[in-house]
Amino acid sequence: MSAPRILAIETSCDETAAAVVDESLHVISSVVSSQIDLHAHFGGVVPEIAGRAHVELLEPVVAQAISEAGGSMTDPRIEAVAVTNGPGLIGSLLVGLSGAKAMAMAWGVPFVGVNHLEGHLFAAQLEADGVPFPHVTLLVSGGHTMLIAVDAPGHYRLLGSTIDDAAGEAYDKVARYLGLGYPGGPAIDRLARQGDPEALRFPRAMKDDGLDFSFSGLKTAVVRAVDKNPDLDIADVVASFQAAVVDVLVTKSMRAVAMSGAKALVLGGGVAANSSLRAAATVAAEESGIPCALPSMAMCTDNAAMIAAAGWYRLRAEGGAELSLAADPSLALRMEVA
Amino acid sequence: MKILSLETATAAGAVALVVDGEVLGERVTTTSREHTETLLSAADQMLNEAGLAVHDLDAIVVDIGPGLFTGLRVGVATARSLASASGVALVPVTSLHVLALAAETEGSAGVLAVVDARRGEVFAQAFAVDGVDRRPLCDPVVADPGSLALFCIEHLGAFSEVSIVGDGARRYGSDVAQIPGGRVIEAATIPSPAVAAQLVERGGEIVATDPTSVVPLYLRDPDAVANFSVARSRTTP
Ligand SMILES: [Zn+2]
Repeated sequence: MSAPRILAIETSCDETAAAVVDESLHVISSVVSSQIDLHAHFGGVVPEIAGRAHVELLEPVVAQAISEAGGSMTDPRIEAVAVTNGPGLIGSLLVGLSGAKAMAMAWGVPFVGVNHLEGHLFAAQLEADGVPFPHVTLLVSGGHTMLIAVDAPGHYRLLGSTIDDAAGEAYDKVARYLGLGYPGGPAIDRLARQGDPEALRFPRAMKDDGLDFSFSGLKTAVVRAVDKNPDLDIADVVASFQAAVVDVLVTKSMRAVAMSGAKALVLGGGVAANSSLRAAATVAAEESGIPCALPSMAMCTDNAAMIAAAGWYRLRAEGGAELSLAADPSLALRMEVA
Repeated sequence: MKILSLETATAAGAVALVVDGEVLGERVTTTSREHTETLLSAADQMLNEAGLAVHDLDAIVVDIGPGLFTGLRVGVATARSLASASGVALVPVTSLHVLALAAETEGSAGVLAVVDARRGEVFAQAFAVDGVDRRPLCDPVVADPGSLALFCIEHLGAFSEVSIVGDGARRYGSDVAQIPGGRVIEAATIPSPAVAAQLVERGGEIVATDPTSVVPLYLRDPDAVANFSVARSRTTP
């Protein structure tokens, strides 16, 4: 008899994902079907297109995750179903949530709703052998830029967040302005390797105080610099832009580590796949004598394995959810007072 | 035959359990589009009361629209997942067809089903009475309510009387009043999942559809696609 398994489903934005993860957080299968190609020529995620794609992709993706784990749709060999019920695009969340409830009901197993952000906080637990608690997680994506003190699984304190754009949003906006395509993160990361990060000195907003972030001024500064001097080497521009983003993210992360007495720094979210951020965070953590946990690229971007990990925790802590559970596009992560 | 039928095409969500032609339960679960919160709880309760599990069913029937997109996705995702997880046959029906069945007409009448499509438009389809069934006389369309009278002259001109069903008839009462021989059936505004189940049961042998091929009947491109092609047609000579 193998260890109990949970099936997790994630459809909060433009990835349709399913995974099977056992009780000891061993990932048996993890399938992610990206819709990037569907949204690319609109320069961003189109909610109606995402919702339509999720309806078509949901069971094929679930069926693949289950079959890679040795089961079938009518004999899935799983003990529970976890699903993201927020935050995210409402039309996308509803598809995964409705499907997850229906599967759990048909299989006669409990189901549990998971906060997408809590999934990101659990991603590092899936790969690293025991990231120590308490730690600080820098959660950076197209929708979020947060510094969270993770005192123990399920116990979080918000230390800082962006007051305007998310870091990933700044990447997308700069990439769109420079005609580098969508999504902006990987394109800029690639091009920045050929540029000089010190060619231009872009502002580091709020770098010297506090743990909150601001990225909207940086985007404006990039636009102004290029407008003023169209002959600038674009590789230098994006390298300098990225240097400013990474400088602020890493400086504040290490400040959060020092202030909270964290035993490790953890990165999570799509922007945590950025090579320059990963390198800088590793060096900074090393200098402070603490480990830096970097989930693999696949675990930084949206996936269902991280939802499964958080799902196991929620299921043990609170038991299964009612079939009446709602999707909440602005679902807040429950924080303790900082 | 045991059939669970799900309805989410309009603002009202509803579910019905029909066993051997008898409606064991039909519940309108919400009128505020909160289908995902109410649909399965109601279905679960109905099955429990009847002492049935999902895999005991002979068919799961789902209204694929046309209707409100978000609701349709909840209904279709729910039905597809129930069917693929249980191995029970999935049978799609359309909102307009189910509505047309609710029109109690004399044999000589035609039927116009009209669903509010929002943004000043309706989904519409013309049917002829065919015994207990209704035979479509054209494909479902998305239309300007002001064009319904012409639509009826074209497709239902042969009938002296036209029974009009669906929530679009109330919303666009003055446009619908222009339809020659038109008579609005007030009671038939929401497609009934029990009627949908009975339609499937009357068909005799259940013809299952591959769940992954069952998708909402949108009849409209996403806005972004429509705007994008307009923008492109303006820039391409
Ligand atoms: Zn995410």
